[in-house]
Amino acid sequence: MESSVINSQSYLTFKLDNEIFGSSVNRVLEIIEVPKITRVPQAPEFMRGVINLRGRVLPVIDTRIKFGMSGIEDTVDTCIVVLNVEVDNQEIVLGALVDAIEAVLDIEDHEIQDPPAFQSGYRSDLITGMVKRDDNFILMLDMEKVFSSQEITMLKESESAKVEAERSKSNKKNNQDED
Amino acid sequence: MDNLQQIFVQEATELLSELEEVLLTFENDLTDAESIERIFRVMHTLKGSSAMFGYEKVNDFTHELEYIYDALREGTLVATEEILELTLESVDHLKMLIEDPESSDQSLLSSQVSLLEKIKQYNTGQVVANVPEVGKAAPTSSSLYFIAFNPFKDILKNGSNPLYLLEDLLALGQAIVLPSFKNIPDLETLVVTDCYTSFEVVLETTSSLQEIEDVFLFVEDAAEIKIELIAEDQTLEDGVADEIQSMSRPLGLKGILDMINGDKAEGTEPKHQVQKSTSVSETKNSINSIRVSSDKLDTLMNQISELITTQARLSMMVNGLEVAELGAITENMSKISRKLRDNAFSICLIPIDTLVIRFQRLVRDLSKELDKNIELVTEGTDTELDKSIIEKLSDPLLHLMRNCIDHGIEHKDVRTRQGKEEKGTIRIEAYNSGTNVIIKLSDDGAGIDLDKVRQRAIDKQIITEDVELTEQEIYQLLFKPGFSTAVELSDISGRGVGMDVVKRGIEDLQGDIFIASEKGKGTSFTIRLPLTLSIIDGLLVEIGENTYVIPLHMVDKCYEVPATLLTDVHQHLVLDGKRMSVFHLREALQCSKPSPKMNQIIKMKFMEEEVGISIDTIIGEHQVVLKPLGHMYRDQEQFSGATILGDGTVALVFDINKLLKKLINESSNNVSYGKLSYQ
Repeated sequence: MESSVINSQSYLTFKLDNEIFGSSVNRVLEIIEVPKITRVPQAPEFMRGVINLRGRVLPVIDTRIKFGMSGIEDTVDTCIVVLNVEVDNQEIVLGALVDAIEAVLDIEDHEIQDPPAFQSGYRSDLITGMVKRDDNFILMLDMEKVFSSQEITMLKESESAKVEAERSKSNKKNNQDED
Repeated sequence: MDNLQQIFVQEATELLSELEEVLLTFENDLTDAESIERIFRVMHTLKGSSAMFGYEKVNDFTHELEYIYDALREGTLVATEEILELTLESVDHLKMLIEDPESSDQSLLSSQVSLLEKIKQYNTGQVVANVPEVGKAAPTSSSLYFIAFNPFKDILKNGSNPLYLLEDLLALGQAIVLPSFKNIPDLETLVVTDCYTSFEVVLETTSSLQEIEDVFLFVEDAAEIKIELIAEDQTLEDGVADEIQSMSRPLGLKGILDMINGDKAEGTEPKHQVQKSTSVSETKNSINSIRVSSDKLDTLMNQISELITTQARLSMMVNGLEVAELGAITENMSKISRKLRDNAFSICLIPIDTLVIRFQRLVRDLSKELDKNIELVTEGTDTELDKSIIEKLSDPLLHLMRNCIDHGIEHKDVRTRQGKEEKGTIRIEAYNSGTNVIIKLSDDGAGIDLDKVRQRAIDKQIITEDVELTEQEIYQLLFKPGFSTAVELSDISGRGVGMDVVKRGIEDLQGDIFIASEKGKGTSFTIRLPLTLSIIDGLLVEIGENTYVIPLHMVDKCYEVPATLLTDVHQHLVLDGKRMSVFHLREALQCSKPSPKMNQIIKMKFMEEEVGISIDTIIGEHQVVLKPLGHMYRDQEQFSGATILGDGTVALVFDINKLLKKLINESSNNVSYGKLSYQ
């Protein structure tokens, strides 16, 4: 009996710059179209602004820029994934802009392979695993970790040097801002 | 269980602050029986609930403490300053015990032991020696009482068992209990957790009325209780007792009286009349207030905010449709939602009183410690403020109070030498002014020595020697970080935080603080605060592609200037014949949309100086329901939040003080701005 128990979970998959990413649906509250976004001046570039989600002010993150990809104009496929993540022991709700929503898949635990090794270049602390479906690889993202940082989070290992540079730059800026 | 403990802690905290308040009134008149009674009652309640929630140390402690007040009440002990002092100390100790019930801190344990020892001295009678023999005329002859005990339906839910109470009554003397079952419903409609039975008791006892009342102390709110003295010096004659018993149904006071008095009616009637007027009859059928958790209030406020926003959208839509009937309905609805909003806001307002009790204690303790004679006078403390403001106001006000006590009011002998009254006065006045609340804290102490402040600012390199400053500008120096005028730091006001923290605290609440002072006469701090933080009157403006809100109370005057005049983020312009610093917000916020031909400059006051900010166009006034921008935008301090406009888009609300501070810092890192630099 016990051996027949199948551990599977639902994952939402979405597209960002030709890669397909997956995130556990547990964190996903809803998916909405892109409404008018109010830009908050003097904020980091990846923070696109705020929207009105049924009377609630919701911050929207430009996930492409957050992951160090080049920013593009929004298309008809662009969506906002509303996520509930825990940052600094605080539950916060935020919207993440993605290029397109793919599907919701049931993936069994054993299907998930170890994170891609060095050759792929992705950071293993953010990508928790990889699943092969049809001819595509789906990269499993640790949403909590990705959005808990206030800075640009590079997904690729090779770029980490750049991240460091970015971080020290923004630290310096923050120091100046403080009086 | 955690939840229950939370309830206890909340209740206990309230009880302790009530206790503190009564103790301070008690101090004025140590013979006031009413205060003693109240103190005893509060302690008794605290004892009861601490035992119920398993706070044993609190229970043990109050148990002993209660004895003192029981003795005071009985007149076997006379209230002294020492007892009061001991009680106040005990209250402090209890506060800590409630925070830390396990007494993980060793000092807490030792203070419990030492305080208990002191308390026990009173209780074991070592101090009782100096008690005069007064009022000890204990009633030796028994009296007859009639008690009507009518529990409310839900009494069992509180964990009270009416039968136990009756047993307690029986312990006081001989009694006849007459239960009434007439309210018990049919089996189908009977709720097993409800209580339907009421009781009448005829009690023959040597105990006092007080002792009978004490039996019902915990169920005062859960039952209707009537206690009447039927006759003094009278016993229940066997014949009458049997007769009443045999009726085995409630007879009411009159019925009982008839039975007892029987034929000797006339003679005792007047006596009963007299007794009736002095007897306590407690009927608490209606509940006047309920306790609601602040979370629920917050949710209510949020929902009302949403309603207001939706209402605004609806009104906008209807205006475009021009359907008369629909228009009338919408208008009606908007009226109702406005009323609902005002009502909900008033629920969240609490009087400043709650803060002042704490200060009374502070003044009392500190003036003793510093050997000063200080009186705290309060006025208008029933003025109400939003609860979240009151919470955050506590620390800044406490700090100002400490300053007044420590630096403001002089020593007794210094005061007499200067021909002042020996007793110094600190006043707290509060009143409403428009949508603001003003709190004024003043003392009749030494005042602020302008030269000394100036000199100190020079020593601390806050200003240079050659700067000319107005009086107000010198006062503002007091709010600079790292500034402290007391030559020696005492542990009272110099706790490493300065007046700058006070100012920041008040600015965080969207308020301002002003100082006025006269050397030798006194100092006053005037704090202006908004009534509530969640709704503000704002000016809706457009800058670039976005709409922003500027709090209306900051706006002084508007000017229209051609866009070509504005070239830099920070520049000086002459407006109304006066040179003014102007910040070009378009530039500062890096707007991409082209600027209109004419721009608007809004003049406002910042740190006692006039400053202008430029914007594209003014849209109009708007009542703003403030929403937090959230954790992700916590670094964007120049915005105090956001609001949702009638068309459903989001507008950002400026925190003008922080915005200007930021702009000044950014644009003039090296160039000194005006006379003061804001580093």
